[in-house]
Amino acid sequence: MTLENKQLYKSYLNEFSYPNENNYEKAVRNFFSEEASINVVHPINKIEGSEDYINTVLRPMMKAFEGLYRRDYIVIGGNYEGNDWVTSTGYFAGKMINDWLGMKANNRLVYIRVGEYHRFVDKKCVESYIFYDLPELMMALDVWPLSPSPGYSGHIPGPATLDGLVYQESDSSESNKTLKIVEEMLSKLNTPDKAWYPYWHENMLWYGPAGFGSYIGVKNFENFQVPFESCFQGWTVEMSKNNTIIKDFARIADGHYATNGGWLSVNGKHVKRFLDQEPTNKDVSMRVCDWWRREGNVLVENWVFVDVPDLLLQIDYDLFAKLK
Amino acid sequence: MNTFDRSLYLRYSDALRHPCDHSHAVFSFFSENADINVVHPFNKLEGVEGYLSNFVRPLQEAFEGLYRRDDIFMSGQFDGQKWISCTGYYVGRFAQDWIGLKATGTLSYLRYGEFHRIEDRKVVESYIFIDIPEFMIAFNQWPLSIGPGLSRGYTGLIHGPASRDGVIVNDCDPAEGQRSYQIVTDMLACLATKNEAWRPYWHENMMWYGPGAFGSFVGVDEFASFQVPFESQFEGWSGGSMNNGLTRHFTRFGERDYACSGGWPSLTGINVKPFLGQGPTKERIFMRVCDWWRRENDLLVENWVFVDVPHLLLQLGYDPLP
Repeated sequence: MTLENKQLYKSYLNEFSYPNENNYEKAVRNFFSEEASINVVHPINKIEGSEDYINTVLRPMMKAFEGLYRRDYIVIGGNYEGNDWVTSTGYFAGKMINDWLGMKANNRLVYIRVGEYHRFVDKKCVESYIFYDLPELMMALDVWPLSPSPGYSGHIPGPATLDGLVYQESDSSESNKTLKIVEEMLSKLNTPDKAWYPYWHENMLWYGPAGFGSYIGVKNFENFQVPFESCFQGWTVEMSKNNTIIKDFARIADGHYATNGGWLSVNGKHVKRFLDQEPTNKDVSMRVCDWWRREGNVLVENWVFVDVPDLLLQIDYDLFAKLK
Repeated sequence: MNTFDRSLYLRYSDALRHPCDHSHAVFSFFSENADINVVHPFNKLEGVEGYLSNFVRPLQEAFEGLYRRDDIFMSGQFDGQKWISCTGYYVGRFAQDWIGLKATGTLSYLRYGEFHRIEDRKVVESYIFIDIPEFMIAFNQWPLSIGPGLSRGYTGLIHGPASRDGVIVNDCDPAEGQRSYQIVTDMLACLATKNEAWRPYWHENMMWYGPGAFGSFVGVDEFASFQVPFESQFEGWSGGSMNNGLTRHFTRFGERDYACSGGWPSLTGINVKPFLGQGPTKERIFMRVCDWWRRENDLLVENWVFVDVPHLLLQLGYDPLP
């Protein structure tokens, strides 16, 4: 099933190339079931079915960005608890000629980082989670109103090995190995002895969402991750010990790559200043997804999305109302 | 180009994929007396020792966890000589000041583009471009805010090929490489023409990944908004493929759907209008330039470009480096 679904997704992605008058609309109607439940990051949120997706999301995007096309750098698929998923991450590229989601057009080449998950039933997509890194675009457009990321912020490259488009069938023993390492690593996050360390290459790259920043080396990642965890008391993900509140929608591996997504995932109580926001003591959950690449027995690259605007809204900061 | 020559680079590239002392790989790759040229402020380096002591070791000292990642690697022949070329990024944490630039302590990217001529299974002649202005712009250490065109376009990290297939590790049909070479050679002959005769060679939605100081552009119209003003700043604007009697490409070849070229120098002209806020000096300048192109069928869709901009600015009497 996975192989077939990946091929369907490949054809779908191909329809997001230039010139794109209306061919993407046909592709969307073909790819999604009419009633598909499509979830997109804030401020779009819930979309009901393929027509709504075209009208609310894609048409305004096509209008805002001239020559818009996709260039994904990871595509993988797999089965999670009886459900078939295909996921991808990469970029949209185009010239921003009209305002979009309250962001002013700069009339230049811009990039929009995208991560997508699609669940298939009978060769149709019935459930989707779509992440855009809108803060990354805000920073590129110079309308981001908060402090800059502490780490690197900017364009995020795909896998250094250029082999993230896994359209072929993977060796299941390799996939299992990747999944096991990722699950064990996740179960050891936010432990006092930093038991997640050995699962990572010493010089790993953590490509974080804009606002969080990107980091090279496990020590520099720790310098971000540990304070981040401490801002949210009881920091929990699905794999955390004693977790009873978080349930991910998918966690799969395909060869040397794995992915995990939750809508909602990371949970905790906002007890320290984060993203310039004083503690609110509110209980928050984050829309999060990750892709990992493994070499040998360690993880070397990790691409991450967090719906930062949604997180900020939960702690009483409406990012879209504050754009510069 | 036999497979041995390909493996010479692939071994070098593999060794530098993760942090290590680069010198061992450098010794195996270059011949001891190789003629190695690196963009300003490095310029001409004497042999492998010169390259190590002036370029590689200081880079390793400045960047913690330094490694390389290629986006394009290709090989071919030019005038009976064997060449390989590659472009990609150095990655590391900018931990110590480097060539006068202030360390940021953060993850950073330094774009490279390299050409190496091979004789007797070793590199004997090299031209190595790194995009120092792109690096400086990323950390707000570049002193100029304008580009040569109507705008500076996108500035930031530059993608590899959208098709993710730029590292060519197997032999391929020479006819395809020849076709790539010919399209590029024909297109170059049409640059700086009154009727913009270069347009038909490009995909309408092409990407031009310029040097950091110039910016990147999407679509032929946007590219023209850079290219035409740029050409007008240098009278007699002419490149290394044009038999202009002044400059000549050190190599130009195609492989599969990719082509590349480089000249040290390549572009030349008389500076007749202000360029990056400097001049006009009314004097002839020479630019070190290199390019990679990817085509789809008969149209060029992506183009990665380096210009040694600091070297060019120096000729106009302005030193942008600290």
